[in-house]
Amino acid sequence: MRRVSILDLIYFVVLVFVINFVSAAFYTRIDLTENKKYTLSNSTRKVLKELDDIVRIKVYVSSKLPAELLPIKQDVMDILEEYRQNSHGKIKIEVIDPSKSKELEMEASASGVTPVQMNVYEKDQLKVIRGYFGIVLSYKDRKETIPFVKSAANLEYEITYRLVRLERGKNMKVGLLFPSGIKVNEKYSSLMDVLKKTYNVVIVPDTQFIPVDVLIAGDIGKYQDTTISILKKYIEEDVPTIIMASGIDLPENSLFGRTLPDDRFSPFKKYGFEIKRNVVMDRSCELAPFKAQFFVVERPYYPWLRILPQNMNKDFKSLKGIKMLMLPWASSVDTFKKDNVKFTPLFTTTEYAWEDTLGMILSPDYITIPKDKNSFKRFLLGVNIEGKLDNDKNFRITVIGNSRFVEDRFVGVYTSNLVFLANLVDYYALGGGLSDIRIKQDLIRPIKPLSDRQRLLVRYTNILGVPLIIVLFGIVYNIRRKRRLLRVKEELR
Amino acid sequence: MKRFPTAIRDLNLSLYSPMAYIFMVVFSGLLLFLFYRGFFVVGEASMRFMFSLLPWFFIIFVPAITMKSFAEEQKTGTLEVLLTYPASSGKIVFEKFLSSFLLLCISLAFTLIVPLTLFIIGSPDTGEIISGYIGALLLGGAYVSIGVFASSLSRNQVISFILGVIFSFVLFFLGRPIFTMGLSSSLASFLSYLSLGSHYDAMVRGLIDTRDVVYYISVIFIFLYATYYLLEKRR
Repeated sequence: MRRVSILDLIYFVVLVFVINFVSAAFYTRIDLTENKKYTLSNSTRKVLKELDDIVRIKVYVSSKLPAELLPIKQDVMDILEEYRQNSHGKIKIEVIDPSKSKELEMEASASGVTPVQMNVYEKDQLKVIRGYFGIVLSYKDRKETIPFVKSAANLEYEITYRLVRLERGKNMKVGLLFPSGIKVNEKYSSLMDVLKKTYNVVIVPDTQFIPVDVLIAGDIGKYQDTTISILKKYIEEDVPTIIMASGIDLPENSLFGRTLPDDRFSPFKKYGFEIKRNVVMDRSCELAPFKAQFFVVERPYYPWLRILPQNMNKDFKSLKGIKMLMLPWASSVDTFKKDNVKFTPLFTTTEYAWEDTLGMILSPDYITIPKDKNSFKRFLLGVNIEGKLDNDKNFRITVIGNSRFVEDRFVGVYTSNLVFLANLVDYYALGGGLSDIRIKQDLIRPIKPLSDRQRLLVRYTNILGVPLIIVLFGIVYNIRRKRRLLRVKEELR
Repeated sequence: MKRFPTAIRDLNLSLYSPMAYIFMVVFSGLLLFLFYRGFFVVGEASMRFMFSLLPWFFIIFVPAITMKSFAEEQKTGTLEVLLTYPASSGKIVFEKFLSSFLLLCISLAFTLIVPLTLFIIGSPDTGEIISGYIGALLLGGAYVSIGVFASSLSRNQVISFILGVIFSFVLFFLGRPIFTMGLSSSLASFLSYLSLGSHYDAMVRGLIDTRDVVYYISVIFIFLYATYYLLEKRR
C-alpha cells in the first residue's frame, strides 16, 4: 500500500481551499429565525417585483477599512446580493473604491457619499484616514443615498424604503395634528425620530389645513372647533388618518381624571365611531411604579392595559409580529353599523375588563376589581374604518382609544407601541407597508415578570441542577457497568 | 455504532472515569453561572450570551477531552497494538475524533436545560437556538479535530493539551479585529475567513450559511487528515 506523503497532505489542503473558494461563489443561506431577520421580507420582494426599470446600486467603499467594519462590509454585500437575486435582473450592483482616484472621490461626494474619519492601525501607528462606506441607488433620473453604513442590522429597511421613494418619485409627508398647547416635539420626540427616518414629518398647525399623505391626530377631545373642522376636512379629502385619543383628561403627574365634553367626539359619529368617555381597566395589566413611604414599589396597575397577541387581529398587517402593546389610561371605542363602511377591529381588552365612567380617581389604592361578574366585558380599543361618505367620497381612519401609548416616557419600555404606530403609518403611506421589515428590528423578547423567589429558583435549579444531573448520570452509568461486569464474572465462573 | 468499536471503547472509558464528570460539571456549572449572572438584568429570553461564551469554554474544555486520544496510546505503547488492528489509520483517526465529539455532544446536551427554562419563562426564538446549537456543534467539531491532531503530536498529555489550547486559540482569534488591526484589508479579510470565530457569529444570530458549514467541515477534515498523515508515518 502506498504511504501518504507530505505532498498528499498539501494536495488535500489545496483541494479543501478550492472547495471553499467554490462554495463562496455558490452559497445559500438558511434563515432559522422566527421573524426571518436575515431573509428579504415579502414587502421587499413585492417592491422589487414592481420595479419597471433598472436600479443601479453603487457601493462606495474604501479598500482600507478599520477591522471592525470588515464583517459589516461582508453582511452588506450579502444583503445586496440577495436584492440582486430577487430582482429578476432589475438590480445592478457596482462596488467602487473612491480613494483610487480624484474623479471617483468627486463622484461619490456629488452623490452624497461623504468621507468619514476612521482610525486605522498601520505599521505600529494609529492613523486617521478618510474612508468611504456609502450606498447610492439610482432609478431613472432619481437618486437616493445612504451616506454611511454603520450597521447591517437595519439595512433592508434603509434600502427598501428608498426603493419605494425612488419608484414613487416623492418624499411622503406625515402630519401630526395635536391640540394647541401640547409640545409635540418634546412629548413625542421618539415617534418623530422614527418617522423622520422614512418620511417628511410636519407638525400641522391647529388652525390651518396643509397637504399631507398621512395624518396622525392626537387628543381630539381637546380640539378647538376650528381644529375639529380641519380634522374632518382631512378625513373627507381621503387623507388616511390615525386618530389617537382618550375620552378623559388626565393631567400630567396626576391620577385624578375628568371626562371630556361629549361635543368634542360627537362630530365623528358620522364616520361610524365614537370614543367613549371612560377609562378601561383590565386584569391583564402592567406593573406601574408608585412611591411608597421611602421606596418606589411596582404594583399591578389595572388602567395600564396589557394587550397580548391573542387579543389582537393577527390578519392586520401592522400588528403582525407585535408581541405586546401597552395602553395607559385608554378609553374604549364604539362603532356604529353603517352602509358602505367596513370596520376591522384591531385589538381589544381581555374579557375580564371593566370601565370607570364616574369616579376617575385612578390611584391604585382606590381601584378595586368589581365583585359583580356582570361588570366584566371585552372592550374594543382600536379599529380600522374604511368606507364611503354620503357624498360618495372615500375615507380611511384608524381609531385608537389612547394617545399616550406613544409618548416618550412609555416607548422607552414598550418599544412595540412605537413599532405598531410606525407600521400603521407605513401601511397607509406605502400602500401595504414595510411592517414586516420593521418588525425584524423589534428584537427584544422579554421574559415574564418573576418574583425574586422565582428568579432564585430559576437561577439555582439551572446552576446547581445540571451538575447534580451529571453526577447522577455518572453514578447510574457506573453502577450499570459494575453490574454488567459482575454478570460477566458470574457467567465465567 | 457497532461499526466504530474504538470510538465506543474510548467513550465508555471516558464515562467510567471520574475525570470526565469533573470536566462536565465544571464546564456546565461555570457556563450556566456566567450566563445567569446577568440574565435577569437584561431580562431577555435569548441564549446568545451563552453561545458567545461557548468558544472560550471550548478552547479549554475540548483539548482536555482530546488530549489523551493519541498521547496516552503513545505513552502506554498501545498505539502500536492499535495500528496492528485490521482497521485503516483513517478509520482509527475518525473513531478517536468521534469518541471525543460524542463526549462533547453529551456535555452540550446538559445545557439544554437553558432553552427549556427560557420556554417556561418567556418565548425565545426557537430557530435562533437551533442554529446556535448547530454552530456550537460545528465549532466544537473543529476544536475536537484540532485537539486530536495536537494529541498525535506528543506522547505527553499535558503538552498535547497546551498545544490544543494554543492551536484553538490562535485559529479562533485569527480574524478578530484585535488581531487583524494594522493589516491590509485583503489580508485581514483572508484571516477573518480562516478564523473559527467569524464563521460562528452568524450561526449564533440564527443564520446558517453554507459557506460557514463548508468551512467547519474543511477544518475538521484538514486536521483529521494531518493526524492521519502523522499516524501513517508511524506505521
